[in-house]
Amino acid sequence: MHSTLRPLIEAAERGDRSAADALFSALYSELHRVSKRELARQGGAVSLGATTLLHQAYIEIAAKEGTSFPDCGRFMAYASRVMRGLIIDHARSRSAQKRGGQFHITSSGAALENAADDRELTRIGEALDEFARTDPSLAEIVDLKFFCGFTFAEIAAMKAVSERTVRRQWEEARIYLHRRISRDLEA
Amino acid sequence: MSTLSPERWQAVRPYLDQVLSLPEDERATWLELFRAERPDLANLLQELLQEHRALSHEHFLEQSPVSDTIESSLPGQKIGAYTLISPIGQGGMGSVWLAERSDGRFERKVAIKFLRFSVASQGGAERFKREGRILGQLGNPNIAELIDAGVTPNGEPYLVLENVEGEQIDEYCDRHKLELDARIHLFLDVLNAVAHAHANLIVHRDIKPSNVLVSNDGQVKLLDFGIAKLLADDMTSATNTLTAEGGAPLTPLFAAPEQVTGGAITTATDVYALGLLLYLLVTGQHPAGPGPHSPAELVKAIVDTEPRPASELISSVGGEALAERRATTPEKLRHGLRGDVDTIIAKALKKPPAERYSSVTALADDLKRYLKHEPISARPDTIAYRTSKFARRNRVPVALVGLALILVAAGVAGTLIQARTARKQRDSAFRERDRADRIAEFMTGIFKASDPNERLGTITAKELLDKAANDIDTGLSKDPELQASMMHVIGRAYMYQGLYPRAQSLFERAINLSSSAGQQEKREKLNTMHDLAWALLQQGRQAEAESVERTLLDLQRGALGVDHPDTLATMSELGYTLCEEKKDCAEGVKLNQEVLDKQKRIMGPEAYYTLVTMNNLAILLAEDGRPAEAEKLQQEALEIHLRVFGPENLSTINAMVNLAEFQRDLGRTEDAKKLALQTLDIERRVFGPNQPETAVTKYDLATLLARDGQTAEALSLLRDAIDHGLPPLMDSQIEKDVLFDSLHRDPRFAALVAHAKERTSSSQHTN
Repeated sequence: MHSTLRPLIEAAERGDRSAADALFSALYSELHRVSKRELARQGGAVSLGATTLLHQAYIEIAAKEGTSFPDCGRFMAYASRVMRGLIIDHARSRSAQKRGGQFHITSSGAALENAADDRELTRIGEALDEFARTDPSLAEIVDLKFFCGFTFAEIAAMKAVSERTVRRQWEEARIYLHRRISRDLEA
Repeated sequence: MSTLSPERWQAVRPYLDQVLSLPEDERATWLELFRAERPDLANLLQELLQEHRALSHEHFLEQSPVSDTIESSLPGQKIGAYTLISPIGQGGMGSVWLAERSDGRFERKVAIKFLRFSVASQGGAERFKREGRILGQLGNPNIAELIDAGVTPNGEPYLVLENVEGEQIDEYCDRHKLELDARIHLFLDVLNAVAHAHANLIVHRDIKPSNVLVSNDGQVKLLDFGIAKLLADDMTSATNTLTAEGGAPLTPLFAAPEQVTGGAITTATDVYALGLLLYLLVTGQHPAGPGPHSPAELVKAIVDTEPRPASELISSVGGEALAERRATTPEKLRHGLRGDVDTIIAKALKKPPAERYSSVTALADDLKRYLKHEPISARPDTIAYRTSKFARRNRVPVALVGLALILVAAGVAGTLIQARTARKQRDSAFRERDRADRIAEFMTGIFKASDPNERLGTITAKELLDKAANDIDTGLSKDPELQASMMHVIGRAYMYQGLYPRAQSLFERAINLSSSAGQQEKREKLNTMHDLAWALLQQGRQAEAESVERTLLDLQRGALGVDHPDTLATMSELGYTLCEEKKDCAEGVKLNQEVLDKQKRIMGPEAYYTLVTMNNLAILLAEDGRPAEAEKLQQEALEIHLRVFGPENLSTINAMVNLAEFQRDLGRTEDAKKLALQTLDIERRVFGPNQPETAVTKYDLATLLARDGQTAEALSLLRDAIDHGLPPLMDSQIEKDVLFDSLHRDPRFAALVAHAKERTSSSQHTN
C-alpha cells in the first residue's frame, strides 16, 4: 500500500523543499480539521491540549494510511513543527485583533488574553525559525516539548535516546533561545 | 557579550553538552581546565552557563503556550455577590480571579477560584456548597479564609477565598536568609495550622510550597485547605471527611505513596507532605533530586526510593550558596542536620503511613524538643528494620503501580510547566492537566510499545487496543469517570479501525458507568452516546441507532439547549438514520432543513457544520426522490466549500462526489464525468492512489463510462478500482449494480465479477 504522506515525508527527509512545504500544509490542514471537529463536538467551549490533538490526528492518519505509515516518532517530529505554526499564527492574529470570536487554541495560564505574551510567543517563534536553520534537531526538541507539551520520557522514546540526553538538549536549546531573545530586546 | 554565529554555536555546543552533564558543583573546576585548553571558547561557554542560570530562574519556556481550561469568565461578570476584576492566575484546578463585592459593602478584595469540573446534578451542587461551608468554619489565622462557595448557573463550582498577598515559604526563607532554627520555627506555625484542621477532621491532601505562603508581615498562610477533597468528592461519593479511598494526587512531586498507589488518604498523608516541605526548606532540594523528573522516576522515588538523609545533600563544594542563604557554612549546616533533623524528617517520610508520626502534633513536639536540645522520640532506622519493610513494600501490586504511572504522568506534565515566577499567581498550584490529556498519555504509552525502538515481538494496533481495553478493567475501577473516558477513547480508536462491534460494546459500558456514577448530564456521556449511534449505524443497526439518538436528543435539549451545536448535529443525524431505516426520507429532509436554518442563523452560512448539513440535506433530498433540488443545494454547498476550504479537503471532496452522483441521476452524464475526473485527481493527491475513497470514485466514474457506451474504459477502470482499494463490501455489489446493466452481456464483465468475488473470499480467509 502507498500513501500520500509517506512519499512526502520521504522526499522531505531527502531535502526536497517543495515536498516539505506540501507536507507542512497537508499536516496543517489535518490538524486544523481535527481540532475544528473536536472543538465543534464540544460546542467550542473547551479548547484542546496539544498532545491530545496530535494523538487524535496520528490515530486517524495512521488508520487511513495503513501499515506503511511512518512510526509515531517521525510523525510527531513533523506534526510538532506544524503545531508550532498553528500556535504562533494564532498568537499573531490574536495580538492583532484581541479577543476574536472563534478560537482554536487559547493562550494559557497567568496571562489570559495577554497581548505581551502573544508578542513574546511570536518572538520565540522567530528565534526558533532561525535556530532551526542552525541546529534543526535541537529546534525540534523545543517544538515537541514547549509547543506540544510532550514529556521528556515521551520525546526520548520518539528519538530513541536516553531521557538524560533529551533533558540536556532541551537545556541547550533554551540557552540558545534565551540568549537570542534577550539580545534582540537589547538591540 | 560575544556574538553567537551558527559557526560559534556549532563549535561550542559539544562542550556545552559536556559541561551540562556534570553536577553543578563540578562545573567551575571543569571550566577552569577548559579555559587552558580552549581559551577561544571559554568565555562564551561561561556566558552560556550564566544564561542558563538566568533562564532557570525565569522559568523560561516552562509554561505551555496552550491551555486546556474552560475560559468562560470575563472581567465585570457577576458571580454571586461578587464582581470579577481581573484574572490573577491559573491554579491546579482552574482559573483564579481577583474580585470585589458588587454592593461595595467591604473594601477588601477576594480571590474567586473556579474549579475545573462541572457539578452536573443538583445533589452534587448541594454537596459542594455544604462541604464549602464546613471548610469555611475552619477559622484559623494561619489558614486562608474560605468566605463562600457556590455554583454558577453553568454548573461551574467556585470558591470565594481570602486574597493573600505574600510569597512562597521557601522563597521567603531564602530571601530573608533564615537560618536553620528560624526555618523550623516558621515551619512550626505551618504545623500548628494543619493540626488545627486535623482536629476539625479536615485533611489538606495537597501541601506543597506554593500552598504555603508567608505574608508581608511574616504570617504563615495555608491555601487550598481541603479543596483537593472537594474535587475528589465530585468523582467518588462522599464518605467521611477524614479518609477517602484513592484520591489521585494533585501534585505528584509532593504526593505521598498512598496517593500514588490508591491507598487511604488520612492525616498521615499530610504528615508525609509536611516532611517533604521541611526537607525542601532545610536542604533547598526535593528528595527526588533536581527536576524535572520523568513519571517513572517520580513513581519510583515516591513508592520505592528511601530519600537520602537531608545532611548528605549539603556538599562542601557546591553548598556554599545554599548555606549562605541559611546564614551559615556548609559544614555547620551539615552538622546541624545530621542526627536529629535527619531522623525526624525520615520518620515523617516513611513509606507506610502507620510508621510516620502518629499526628502533626507529634511531629511538632519532636521539632520543639530538637530546638530545646532535648532527646527526640523518633529512632533512626536499623538494618533489620529496613529489610522487613522492603519485603512488605514489594507486595504493592504491579497493576496499581502501572495505573499510578498514568495518573502521575498526567500530573507530571503539569509540574514541568510551572508558572513563571515573574507573573506568579498567589496560588501557583501545579496544573492538573485535564482528563483528555491523561488519556493521551495513556495512549502514548500504548503507542510506545509499538515504537520500532522498543518492539517486543510484533504487536498490531488492534492488540494494543485490546490490551488497553483490558487494562481499563483491571486498573481503573476506582475512578469510574476516568474509566468511562478511557473506554470512550479506546472505543473511538476501534471505530477508526472499522471494528464497530468492539467500539459499540465499549461505548455501552462507558455509558452505563457514567449513569451509575450519577453523571447524567455530563458532556462526556453525551459524546459517547453520539459515537455509539454512529457505531450502530455502521453495523446496519438503524433501529437501535434511532433509539439512542432520540434519547440523546432529549438529554442534549435538557442539558445544552435546543440550539446547541451538538443538539443540532444529533437532529441532523437522526434525520439521516430515519431515512436509512424506514426509507422515510421526507421526515429526514424536514429535520435537516430545520437544522440548516438554525445553523445558518447561529453559526453563519459558511461555518463548517452548516456545510456538513448542506451535504447531508442534499443526500436526503435525492433519496426522497427530489434530485433537482438536491443538485441545486449541492452545487451551492460545493461553491462555498471551494471558497472556504479549497479543493483538497475531505468535506469538499464529499460535496464533489455527491454532486457528480446527482448529476448522473438527472441524466447529465457529461457534467458528472467531468466532475468525477476532477475528484479522482484530487483524491489521488489527498488520499493516495490506492485508498478506498479514490477507488470508490473510480467505481462511480466506471458506471458513467459504462452508461456512455465506453465499455473498454469502464471495465479497465473498474478493474483498477477492485485491485486498488475498493472496499470488499462493494465487490459483491458490482454484479447487482443496475448502473452496470449495459455491461451484463459482456464476458469480460463476468470475469471481473468473478475476480472481485475471489478477492473478497481470500481476504476473508486472511482476516
